Amino acid sequence: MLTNTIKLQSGLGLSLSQRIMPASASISSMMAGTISSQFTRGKRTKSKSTMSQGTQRVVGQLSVMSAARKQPLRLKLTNEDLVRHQVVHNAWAMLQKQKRQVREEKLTKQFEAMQSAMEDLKHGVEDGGVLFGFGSKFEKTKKRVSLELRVPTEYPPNQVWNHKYSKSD
Amino acid sequence: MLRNSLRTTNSVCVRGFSTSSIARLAEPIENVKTKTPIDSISSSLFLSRVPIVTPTLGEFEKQYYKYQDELQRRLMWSFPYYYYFKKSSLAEAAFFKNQKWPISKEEGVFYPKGTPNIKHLRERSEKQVINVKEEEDENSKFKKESDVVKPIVPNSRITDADVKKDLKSLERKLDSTLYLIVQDKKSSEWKFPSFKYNAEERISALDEYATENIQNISQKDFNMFTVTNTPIHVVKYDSSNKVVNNASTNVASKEYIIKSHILAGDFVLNQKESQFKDYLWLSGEELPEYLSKDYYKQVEFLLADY
Repeated sequence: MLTNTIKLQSGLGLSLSQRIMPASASISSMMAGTISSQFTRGKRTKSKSTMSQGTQRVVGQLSVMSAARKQPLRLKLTNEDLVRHQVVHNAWAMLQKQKRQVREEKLTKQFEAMQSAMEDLKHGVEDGGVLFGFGSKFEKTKKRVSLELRVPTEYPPNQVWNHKYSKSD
Repeated sequence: MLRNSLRTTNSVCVRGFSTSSIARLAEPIENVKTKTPIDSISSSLFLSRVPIVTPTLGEFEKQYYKYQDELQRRLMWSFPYYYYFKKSSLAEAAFFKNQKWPISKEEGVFYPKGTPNIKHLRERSEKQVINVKEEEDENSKFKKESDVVKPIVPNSRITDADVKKDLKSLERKLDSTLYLIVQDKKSSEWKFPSFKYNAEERISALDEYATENIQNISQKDFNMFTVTNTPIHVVKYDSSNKVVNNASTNVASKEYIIKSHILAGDFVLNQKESQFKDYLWLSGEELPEYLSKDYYKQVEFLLADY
């Protein structure tokens, strides 16, 4: 109680005493042991804790990141709900697997089609291998995807398609 | 060096487009021994407009995402309001006014949905809903935020072209890939645009030949990106111009398909100067209505996933 009253007094009279008597202010702050030289916005006049305000602020910030008192109750599913959850999960996994398989099959087919087209170009065309040569030519600088290709978004842009394109630009 | 010598002599054996050490042949070499003359070869263009919006979700996908979202919200930590609003400030009061408070526990009361368990003003057995509704004060002389800043309204995924069923617009079916098909003047068959080589002219690369020719028959300029100089597929025809499905039939002509995307501008067919009379931009689902069965069977696997 005694320290509290000292704190209160020194806290209230700080600005005045600092202006008039800086020496005495430093003495009172030493006595209280709570007032830090650090500037804090919105200084409390009443303080229950013995922590300095800087420390209090850090504790407040850390508490935002900590799970204490903020975690919800554990999810307790009934057997029926658990089965339902597993069914949903399995159905989703199955759908993804099906999609993946279809995709892989398609990609294999596309790869083989490219290969057979090139074999055909090599052996089955009366052009002295010119077309095959062009088709299998590798550029020294790697071909890059054009920057004008757009990544699909959830909603279309204001200008859906650029109709004003001319070669001279 | 090898690749350079290859252009002049056909005798040098170089595997084209090979990433694996064993070259897998789709068909035995005996069948391709008969060489097709250059004027029976054509370069075909697989020109597509990539989707502009993400694929439309199915009913199951929608429900699954909703379920996952709710689960995540239920398991989320409570909102630390005390960090954002200073105690007993006006901002805190305004925040509190908008919130719907959970039912608190009182003695001697039976709660059918379970005894309330509240911490940080949140019912711990449920998800937390934070309302950030703007406070409406009719007497206020200041304008409301919604009057000053326009609310964000997303553009519709269904465009005018969809409503009008304009099959020639590039703004239709934003959620799927569109492919350019053209109708031949003589046979009136729908196909991807293909251009025959001329034996008298200098032979240019398949991709360059197709790109040049498609630009020549368009009234408007358009920008395109050719994915690779390697053909992605070859479609073979017999002497009566029917698609060859089995290896035993004699091949009279061939179409090598080049993959490309349209980036900007429009393709508008110049009917006078080309061998085609009409064109359409169709999605993969609509293609079988227009393409012949045999042809569609040949190119089906080239179509994108959505």
